[in-house]
Amino acid sequence: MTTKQLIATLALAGASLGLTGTAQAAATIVINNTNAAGVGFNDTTPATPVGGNPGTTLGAQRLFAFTYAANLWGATLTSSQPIVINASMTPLTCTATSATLGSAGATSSFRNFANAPYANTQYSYALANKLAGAYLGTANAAQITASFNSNLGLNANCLPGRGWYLGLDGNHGTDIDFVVVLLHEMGHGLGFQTFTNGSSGAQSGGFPSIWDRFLMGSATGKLWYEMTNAERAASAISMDKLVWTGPNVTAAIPNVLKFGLASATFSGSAAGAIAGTVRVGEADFGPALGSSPIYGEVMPVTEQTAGAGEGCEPFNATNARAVQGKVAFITLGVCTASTKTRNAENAGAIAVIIGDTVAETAVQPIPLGGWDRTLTIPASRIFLTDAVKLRTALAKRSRTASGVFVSLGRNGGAQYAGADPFGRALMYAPNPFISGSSVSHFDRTMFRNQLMEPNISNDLGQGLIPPTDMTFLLMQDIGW
Amino acid sequence: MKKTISVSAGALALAFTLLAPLSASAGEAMRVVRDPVTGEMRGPTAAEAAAFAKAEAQLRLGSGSKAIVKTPVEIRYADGTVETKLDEDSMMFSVVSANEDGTLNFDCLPAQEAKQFMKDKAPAKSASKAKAAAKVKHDH
Repeated sequence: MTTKQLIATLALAGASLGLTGTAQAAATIVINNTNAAGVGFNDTTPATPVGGNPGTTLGAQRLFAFTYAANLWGATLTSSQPIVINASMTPLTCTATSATLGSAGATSSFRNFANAPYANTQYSYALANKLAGAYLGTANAAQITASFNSNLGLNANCLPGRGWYLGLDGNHGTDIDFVVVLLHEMGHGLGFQTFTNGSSGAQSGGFPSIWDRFLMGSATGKLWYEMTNAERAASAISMDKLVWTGPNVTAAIPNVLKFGLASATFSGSAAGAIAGTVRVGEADFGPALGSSPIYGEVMPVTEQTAGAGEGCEPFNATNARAVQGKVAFITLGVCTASTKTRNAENAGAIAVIIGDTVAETAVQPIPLGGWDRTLTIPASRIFLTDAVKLRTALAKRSRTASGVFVSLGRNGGAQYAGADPFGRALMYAPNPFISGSSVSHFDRTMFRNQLMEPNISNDLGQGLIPPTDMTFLLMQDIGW
Repeated sequence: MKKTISVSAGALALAFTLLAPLSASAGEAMRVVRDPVTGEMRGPTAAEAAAFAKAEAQLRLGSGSKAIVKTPVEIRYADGTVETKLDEDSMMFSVVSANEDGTLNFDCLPAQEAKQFMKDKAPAKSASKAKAAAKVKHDH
């Protein structure tokens, strides 16, 4: 096996990536390419340079993108010790419709090392090295191990046609942005996680993670390291009652998150049971809901061809007449939400409400995914229960009027989207517990979307710092 | 400086103690073995040295998923530092699935949940079950 070691140079990161605000940052990231000759990062299949990635083979492009992502982290973090990543691209589990994209994690945690800010507290390897100012453990040992799927999109049994986008410019279209996935997983490897089991509440080896000193259950006011196992387990499924208390993240919230909860306020003589304000999930595409609400009459869109799905075809005269100058109500499914929104926009609608088809237990509908960045009207999702009420209210409409009106905007509460009323960042605490996804991610209700939410949103950039992202600030809270 | 590796599974029949020259961050260490018969510390036999090298290679997690340690291991250093070797369960996995409408669901899960996620998506599942599973995660 050939092993190739790369040092992700800060010169590249600082000069060509245009990073700001971290001029004093300096961390050298060493990438150990552990792939054998001819595969993974050494794949010699010819490739055309794409999106700023100059590689001319598949392997070279993969390695360049990996190095690029490492450089983004390296230019942001500060450490006197090198951060070694053992990296490979290998075939991982796939089906025609799903895939394991990759994995990453710290290889060790440390406690009670020299200069540790807290005794008996677990720190991820790279962070422990930084705080100790020394290379702990075995000489030259890697701090992070990372492996990503080399088959993605390349054969019929591995999500065909939906491969890695290896460009550096974020123009991934319907492909999967390799750099963003790398940034997310590297973040976990660098310390964006607790080693405490959220499902059982048990601490790793009986000791709290540094993470647990900033994670608080707002229902009890206790930090995680102060809780019993049972209290931690309950806190991990408390939905909007799990918050981050680190000062750096808290201070940045007004600069990063939108103020006001995205919501729809229904009114009118025919509103019936839907009258009032409900939470909505925003879309990754189109304009975001703003502080100035969009107001209009709601009109439903009917399916034009049986089985084609509501709103999935260019609107016929009946649908176009109904939604002209109004807010279109369309049921989720069959085609993408962005396709429905595109058709509604072309027919003259001013906004779109997508009614969910599946019930879920969350405080807010999840965002609408999509990648069309040319849409000019907003779209949002409402819960299934609200969709049923709205459809009932619209049942007695005429062809051009319903008597149901909606105000779409950020008027759902005096707090930031993804923060609690006291301005603390919400951490992901779904009920039922989703191991791993839970606790070690920002909450999915954050808007703007954040890199370290459990899902990869299509509108994510590559920023790690404000005004776009709070990932690095959380890392600073834990000691970076 | 001295460090002790504790392996809680039966991967090693003996308790190995490493004598490193300077600090927790020092490099190659001298190896001594507690003799299972006499209880005395001595240099390893060739077989013991080979077994140790194999175990240590696994601990380094250095060559991809095949080298991931399955059993948590703690190493205690003389200066009080404690290292916990992390196994696959501490790693985070990104997974993705395609919806009927062509959009993708992303999630970030630990190893066991990621395996279950892929198992649920396997073709062997009935169409109705797969469809139901897809609807549960409907991030489109």
